[in-house]
Amino acid sequence: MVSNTEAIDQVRSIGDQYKYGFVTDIDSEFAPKGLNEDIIRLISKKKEEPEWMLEMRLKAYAHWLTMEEPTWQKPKYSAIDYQDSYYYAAPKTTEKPKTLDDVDPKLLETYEKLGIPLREQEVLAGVQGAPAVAVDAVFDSVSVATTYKAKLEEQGIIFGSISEAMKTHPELVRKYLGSVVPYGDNFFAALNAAVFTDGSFVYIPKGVRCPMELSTYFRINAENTGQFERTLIVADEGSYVSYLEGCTAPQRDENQLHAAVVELVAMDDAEIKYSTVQNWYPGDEHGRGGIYNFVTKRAACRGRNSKVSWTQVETGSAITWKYPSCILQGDNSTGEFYSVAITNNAQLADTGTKMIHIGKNTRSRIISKGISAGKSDQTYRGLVRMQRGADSARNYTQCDSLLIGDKCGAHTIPYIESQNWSAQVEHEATTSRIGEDQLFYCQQRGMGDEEAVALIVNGFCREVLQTLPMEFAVEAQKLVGISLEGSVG
Amino acid sequence: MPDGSTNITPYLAQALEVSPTFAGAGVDWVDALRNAGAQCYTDHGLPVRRDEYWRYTNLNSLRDERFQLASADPLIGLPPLPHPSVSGLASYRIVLVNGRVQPKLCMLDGMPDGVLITDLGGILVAAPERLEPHLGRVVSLKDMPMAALNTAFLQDGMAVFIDEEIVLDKPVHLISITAPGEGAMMVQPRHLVVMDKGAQATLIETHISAAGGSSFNNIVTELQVAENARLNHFVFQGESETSVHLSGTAVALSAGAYYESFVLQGGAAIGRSEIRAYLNGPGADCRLDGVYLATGNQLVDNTTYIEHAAPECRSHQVYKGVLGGQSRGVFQGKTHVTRGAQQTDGRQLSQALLLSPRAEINVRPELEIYADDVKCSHGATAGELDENAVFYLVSRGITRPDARRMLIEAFLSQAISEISLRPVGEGFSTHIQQWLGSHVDQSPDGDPS
Repeated sequence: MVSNTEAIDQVRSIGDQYKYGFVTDIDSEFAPKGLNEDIIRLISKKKEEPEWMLEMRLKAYAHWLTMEEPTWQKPKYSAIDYQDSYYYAAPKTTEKPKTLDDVDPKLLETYEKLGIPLREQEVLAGVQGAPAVAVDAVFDSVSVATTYKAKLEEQGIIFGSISEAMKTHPELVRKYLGSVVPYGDNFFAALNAAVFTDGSFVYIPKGVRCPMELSTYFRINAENTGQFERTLIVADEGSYVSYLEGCTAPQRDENQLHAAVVELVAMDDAEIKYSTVQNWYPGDEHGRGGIYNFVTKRAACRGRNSKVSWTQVETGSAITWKYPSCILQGDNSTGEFYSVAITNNAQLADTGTKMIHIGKNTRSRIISKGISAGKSDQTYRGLVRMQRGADSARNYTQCDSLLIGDKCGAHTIPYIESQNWSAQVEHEATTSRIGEDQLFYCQQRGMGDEEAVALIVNGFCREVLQTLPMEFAVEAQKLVGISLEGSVG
Repeated sequence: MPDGSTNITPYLAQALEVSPTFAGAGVDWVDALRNAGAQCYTDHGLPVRRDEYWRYTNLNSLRDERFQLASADPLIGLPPLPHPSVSGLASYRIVLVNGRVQPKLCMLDGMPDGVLITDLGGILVAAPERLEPHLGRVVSLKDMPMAALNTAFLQDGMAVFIDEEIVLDKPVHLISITAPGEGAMMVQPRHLVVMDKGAQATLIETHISAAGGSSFNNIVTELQVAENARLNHFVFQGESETSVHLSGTAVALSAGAYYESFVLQGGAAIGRSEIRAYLNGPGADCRLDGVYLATGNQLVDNTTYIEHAAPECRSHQVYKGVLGGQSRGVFQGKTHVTRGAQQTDGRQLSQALLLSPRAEINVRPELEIYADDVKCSHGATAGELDENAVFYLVSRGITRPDARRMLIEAFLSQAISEISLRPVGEGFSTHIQQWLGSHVDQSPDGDPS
């Protein structure tokens, strides 16, 4: 018990260890504060969007005005003043950069500091010999650079910012945008549809296996801005892609809203692996500041034998509120959700997944590991639904929570709905803390408190961390250690 | 339903109209309690899908207010009781017909000193002060809107008081008969059991209906189990398929107290058993188990909430169900560990077997935990019978329907074996066997139709 108390005290004294809290001093162009049709028209105009896009935005905005902000979630937050925020902030450039050399050196420096390689020869997280990763870097409201575009184009892969794709491949964007998450889906999805500024678009043509990891790196820099990005990934028949998403933000005292929408579409025999390492600024130890990460992520497994796998490591954000989901429409399609969520200090998280089984022989697997420390509060909320036609579908769910200290909370709220007798659903959940005996065992072998805790927690999350691409797995393991630094036992 | 769908507080007007004529009217705290119930129900309204705890159980059939509060005293004899092994048990028998205690049918002779088993209506008139510290103290009206409605109608039911250290020699058997006659009838019985320190007792409840029209039974039971007292509680719900049976039980456990509940639900068009247990003292121990059987268009709902409000408490739940026809099953179970309730041990298991392609199950196990030194878990499964196991038995010469029945019985026996009183366990087992006999061998496949 003594060691526990000490460790908890330590964490308190260490306070904030967020490495990415710096601000880049860069000239930015802002649209005026506030949200109205004019702002939406302005965003659309800045992006030189086609008319149908503007129409969709305005429809979404009109619908959003009729919606009420949800209140059913566990983390409560003080009211957001949607009029007191910039909806468009972009680094000022006189001309569109043609090559990386034209990009503002301050931006390049920022990404270098974040460990994100915008030079094509480099790799993530300093892992030598790791395969190359193509990166789309989103800074505040716009995509500033995309690497390896040419190499990907050779195979017909489209990877870049969504605003650009709207111009170069309008038919694809128009066909799929909003087809998985319609603008009326929920309050924040509607807001996003109205004001989204950029994001990534990926299209993998039939039968192509994407030769490298694709990655988007989101950075909020400007003050008083919300970030609303939109990601759309379409994997055509028989294709495969692995996609990584990372994010950080400067340390500020006020809360910033990040309301993104991610849509994935997998056709026959296609596979999408989507990994997130979310490390937005979590606020300080008293819960001041930090990002509100309210994101809608959904995948449609439209084709037979399609597969979507979500992996998330959630360590940042003041509030994380999202449920990456799979709609298993195609027969024999598979959905997976692997999640590690770590909350410390005053962080709040309400996350989980939805697996909607529609097709025959659909499979889903949910592994969720939650670690709460400090005064944080964490909820796993999930839905597994077997619809009438989901013959012989299967689901396996495991949710484990680890509590570190007696001031935090861990909650599990699964919904299980089965309308098909041949569907098998299994759900297991446990809650416990790090055993005194486990700690003692490690300490006895000469490990310090922190080291022992990091080891035990990493062991607890191993099943999930293993599913990350290698470059991210290394980073995620370190992140687990840092997030809990000292934190406990 | 042009009128029905807009009526958000059906039956409230009836309650306000008739309650001034009820036993205890004019006693300040009784009036206040009924008013609090009416107010709470007005604020909340009839539960709808938006209410987390009523998400899967739709009460729209109550909206049209066709049910009339049962008029007093239909004199009927005691119908044949199910489960000879239970009804044959020596017991203190208290019989309710349409929500009113029928003294002529009760057998309460030989009550030991310090034990009172009687009708609530009687004490409300004769000695309301005895009820005041207990009635309405355990049930949380804002969490249970239907209990709020019941409170507005509070009139009669069973009241049991067992004094310190008394070990009751025989179980109390509450037999509740709903006899709707021709029309659509409503009853709102209210039961109270107060166990003083170290007291021990067993309570058996049998809920059945006599033939007739449709009925709506809205029951509330409050149980107080003081330090080191023990209460075993076995409930059989076998109401007719034209009835709506909603039962809300609230139990408060003090330090070292023990409460064991087993609910067998097999009847009613809509049958719901909601149990909320508050473990208020260190070392309290609570077991909630149940079996449900449904077929046709039945909906059967088991909802539990266990609050670990003190350290070193244990809770344990096993619910198993079998669903045939187009029936729907619901299990919602929440374990709530409050800040400081260290060394909690909370376990829960919910399993459902779907016997027919049109059956449906909705499960929501929930953990809400604010203490770290705890061991809490829940498990839930749903699916059909293991075809390999059926094949194994069939290949050994057992007919398919027999094989299926054997496997279902084995599946349910894990829950049934939790029943500590043998005759009750036997009675419930027999009931399950009979149910399986008449529902699992009708079609050549052995599936209930």
